[in-house]
Amino acid sequence: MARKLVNLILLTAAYLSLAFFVYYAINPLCYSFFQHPAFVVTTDFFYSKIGAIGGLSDYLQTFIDQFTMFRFWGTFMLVAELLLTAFLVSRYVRKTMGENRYAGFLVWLLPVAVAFVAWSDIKYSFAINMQVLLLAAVLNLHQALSKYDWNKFVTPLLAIAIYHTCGPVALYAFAVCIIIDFAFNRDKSKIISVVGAVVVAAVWPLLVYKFMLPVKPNAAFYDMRPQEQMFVSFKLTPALYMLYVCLPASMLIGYAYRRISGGKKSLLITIAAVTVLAGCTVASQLKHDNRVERIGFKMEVAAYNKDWNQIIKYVKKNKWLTEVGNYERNVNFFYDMALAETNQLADKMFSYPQILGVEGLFLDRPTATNVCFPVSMFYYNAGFITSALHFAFEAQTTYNNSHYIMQMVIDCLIIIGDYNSALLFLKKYRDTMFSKKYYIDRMSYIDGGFITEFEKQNINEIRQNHPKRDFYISGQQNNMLQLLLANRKNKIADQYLTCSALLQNDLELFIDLITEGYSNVNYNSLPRAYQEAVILYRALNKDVKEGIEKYNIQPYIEDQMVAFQQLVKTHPSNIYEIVKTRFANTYWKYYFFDSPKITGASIK
Amino acid sequence: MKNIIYILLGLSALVSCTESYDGIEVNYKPSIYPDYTDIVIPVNIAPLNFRASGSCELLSIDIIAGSDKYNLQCRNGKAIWKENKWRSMLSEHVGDTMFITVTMADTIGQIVKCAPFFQVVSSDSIDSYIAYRLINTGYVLWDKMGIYERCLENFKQKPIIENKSVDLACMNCHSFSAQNPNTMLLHIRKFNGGTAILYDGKLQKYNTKTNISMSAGVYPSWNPNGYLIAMSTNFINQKFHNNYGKRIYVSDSKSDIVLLNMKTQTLTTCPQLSTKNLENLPSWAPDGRTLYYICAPDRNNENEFDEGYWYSLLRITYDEATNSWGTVDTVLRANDLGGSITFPKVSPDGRYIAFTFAERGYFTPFNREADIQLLDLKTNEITTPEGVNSGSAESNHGWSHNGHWLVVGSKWPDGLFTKPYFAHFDGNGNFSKRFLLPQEDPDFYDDFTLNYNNTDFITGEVPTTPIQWRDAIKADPIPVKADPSVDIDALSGATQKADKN
Repeated sequence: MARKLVNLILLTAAYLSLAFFVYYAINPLCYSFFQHPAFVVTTDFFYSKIGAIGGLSDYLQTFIDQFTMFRFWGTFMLVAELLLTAFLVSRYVRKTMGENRYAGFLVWLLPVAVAFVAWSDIKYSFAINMQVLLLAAVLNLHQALSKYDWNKFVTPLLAIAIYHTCGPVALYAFAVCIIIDFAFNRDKSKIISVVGAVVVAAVWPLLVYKFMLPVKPNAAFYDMRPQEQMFVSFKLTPALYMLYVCLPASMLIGYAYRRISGGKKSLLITIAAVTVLAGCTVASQLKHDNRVERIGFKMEVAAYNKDWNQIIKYVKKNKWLTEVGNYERNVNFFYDMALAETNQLADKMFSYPQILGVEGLFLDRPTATNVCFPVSMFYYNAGFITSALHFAFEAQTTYNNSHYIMQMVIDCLIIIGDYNSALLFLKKYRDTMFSKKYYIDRMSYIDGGFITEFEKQNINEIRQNHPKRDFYISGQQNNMLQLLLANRKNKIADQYLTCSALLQNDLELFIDLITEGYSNVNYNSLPRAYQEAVILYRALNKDVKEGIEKYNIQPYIEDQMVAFQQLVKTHPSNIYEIVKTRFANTYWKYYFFDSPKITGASIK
Repeated sequence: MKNIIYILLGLSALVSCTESYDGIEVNYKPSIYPDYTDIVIPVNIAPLNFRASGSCELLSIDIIAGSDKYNLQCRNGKAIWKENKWRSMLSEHVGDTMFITVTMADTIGQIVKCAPFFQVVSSDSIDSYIAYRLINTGYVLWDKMGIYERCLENFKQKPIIENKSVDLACMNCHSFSAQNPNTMLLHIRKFNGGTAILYDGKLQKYNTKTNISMSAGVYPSWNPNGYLIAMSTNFINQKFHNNYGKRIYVSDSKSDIVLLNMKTQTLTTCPQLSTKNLENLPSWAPDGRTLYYICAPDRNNENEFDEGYWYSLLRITYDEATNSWGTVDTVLRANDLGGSITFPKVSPDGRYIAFTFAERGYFTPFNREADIQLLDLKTNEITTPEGVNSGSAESNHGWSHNGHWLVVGSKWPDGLFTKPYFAHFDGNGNFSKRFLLPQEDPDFYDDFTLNYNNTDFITGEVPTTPIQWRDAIKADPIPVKADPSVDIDALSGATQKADKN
């Protein structure tokens, strides 16, 4: 009794530890800006999932994926899945490799490996996807091997079921497992089952490709990712392949050992097999770890939450981010956005390498799926609602059920005043258990209710400040200029417009912008990058524009400029190394060395 | 056991019995969604299920047709017909007017009996299928899309081809010869590019770009003979407006018209259709000899928003036997109308042309002011049929095989998503009030956020499978030959090579 109680306490403790790990280590990556189909309520959706290859696991992962935008429920679901996986894997391990009662506990290594993968792979929802596929795989293999023991006719049918729930690679793994089992046990009564499974593995994908579904060859023959959402688990594919390779491999090791040791089962060999399995999973994933990209996603989450200080803190805390070799366009974009939102863009922009110039400041071009939502967020915050809506629609073409994107579409439509269309999207929330608060709030706003959360965003001010006159949305600078013309107080537009001139090395335009007075910002006290640009302009031009002399340049910057000029005159061979050390965050360094005009850098 | 059967029978009798409501009779017609009031419907249309608009709740429907009376009890506030009952009701009353009285609970829960509305059952049957593309509201990007066919006699929709099987390629401009599902064309862009054509029982992909055409074929029109396809060749741009009402403007910097002969797989054109002006959107007349198209001046004088940039309606004759073209005849001058004429579609009897009239340009699905107009070629009279148009953009229309039905893509009522509407045409220039494509669940359109794009009638099911389309699209394209007798420089418009030299 006492022993059982201890076991129970140990298990609970293990569960809680895992939950804490997931809750704190993985969050805020629980949020993903990709697919969150919260609307798994229609029969069409159900059929389209089940009809596809790997559709059942796809359906399950899609359903479970809904929880990922809720921190607590996401954690709960992931940990519950980890436990279930551990339980099933332990049964599988004990069946094929050893009856030792401790063997089951060893397979904890596998869920821990998966948790690690989730942490390293940026997207929590991907981990869920993997979990479901893994669960389905293990469950199917376990069931199939059990049935294989007693019914030769069921085996081919199970093989087909595996194909449609987990995809082709799971089917091949299953066939291999059965061949291994037959090879070691030589039970002739099972020959029909074995042949049946092998024939299914060889022929079924071909039949499906040729006659059943209009699918691409990779979906039918070798891709294990669900057919409907090819982008999910993309990064986890190697880990999943590894799993399917490792399962029959571990089985092979188990049987081989038993054959050599005369039927004796060993705990050691079980430990070895499971360790190899978990180790391979982690190793394959490590290869794909990208910490810069992970920071980019964290920044995206923070930008969505308007936590600008957090974004700045990421760059401050992770100095390696500012190394040229670690340059990431998304990090550049979000960092610049955070600086502009906190009114520091012109002061601190060059503390991050602006390698792509204007293309790092804006993310519009080229219009690609993964940039549309960040761009939409940017324009929304800048008060350019028609563009925010345009990019939200573009994002929605791929992620058509994403909460984040749909809410952006709805909010933009309401601000623009197209309530009819807003209602079309809003009604999708009517039948779902999620985001009720959002639904009620926006419905209340549309119905003319009292102060709602939405109204607190100064909706009317955004409407008033939106450009009234019509123009073609062409080029980011023009967009910013139009915003500024509509509202001279628009600090975001002002900073982006002026800084884009700096990033283009266009000093004439920069001087025009600060002297013409498009915005009502008091330029008698210039931010640092502007002072550096003004002094550079004076140094490069004999005839300077009238009015430029009124700007005060701090003595410290003047002294630095003198030093910089002397360095340029002497031009030592290691000039760039010196500039990097002594003039690290200056506009001059950018202007003469880092600008795409000098380096020729462009978007890959 | 017997007792159980009796109980079940008794219960079913209770459930199926007609419930009568004593409502207050009111003198206004009900507001229902979709709006199926006072319309002409084809005898073979699927049930027109509906519900009350707003927060009213339908209770029952009473129909008087000729000497017959029908009653429908509504469940969950929806009038949903069983298909066989609906079908027999319509077939028994061809040519009759059905008077429909709706009993409903109004916004305050009071039961009211509304004034009857009517539906005329026309003996002019509608083509049994429509084909369309379903797509998101993206303007630059796309993901999943497909070309689908929907039976108008029931609610069944089937994919002709979905792009998930062809690397998510963009596909559109599906087109049929005289509504015949056996001859079909479909353009594929970005991945696996080309034009897949179902002709003479074979489905193959072609490359229609030649040295006499500036691009591959774009907007197509099949000749009724089933083997000549007129196509425009275009350099297309799109621009985005800050004004949400206008949203997007699609225009061409250049365009011409070419003709593909599927028998010889040869592409031809003539100087009249390859001028420096912008020839576009060809449309064959049913005689198979006259080609209508639109044309605008070259773009040297464009202003910021193309205001006053209008297309006129022209025509030219073509003699296939001699491969010769006639002279160009201006049918409608844009300046006379004060707007742009686009998407001309000639009625199957050849007497009328339904076209879209807009304030500028030719690609009008986003032009809120765009309306369908009707030109009577006999009298040269132009009318704007009220029942066909709305306050939103109307565009992408098509005639049924018998010329008695017009399908119109309209962004009404939300202004964002295009949906197909149908209107009856009496053959004398009069359209009835249009009605929305019926769906089994009247709530269907409430949260349907895809566009029905380029809806067109077909007389039956397309006799292919999605797998056949996939295999054809995945195959290498067959290049079409350029007509050696044509001496045109594709990029410089009508400038013939000889002239240029």
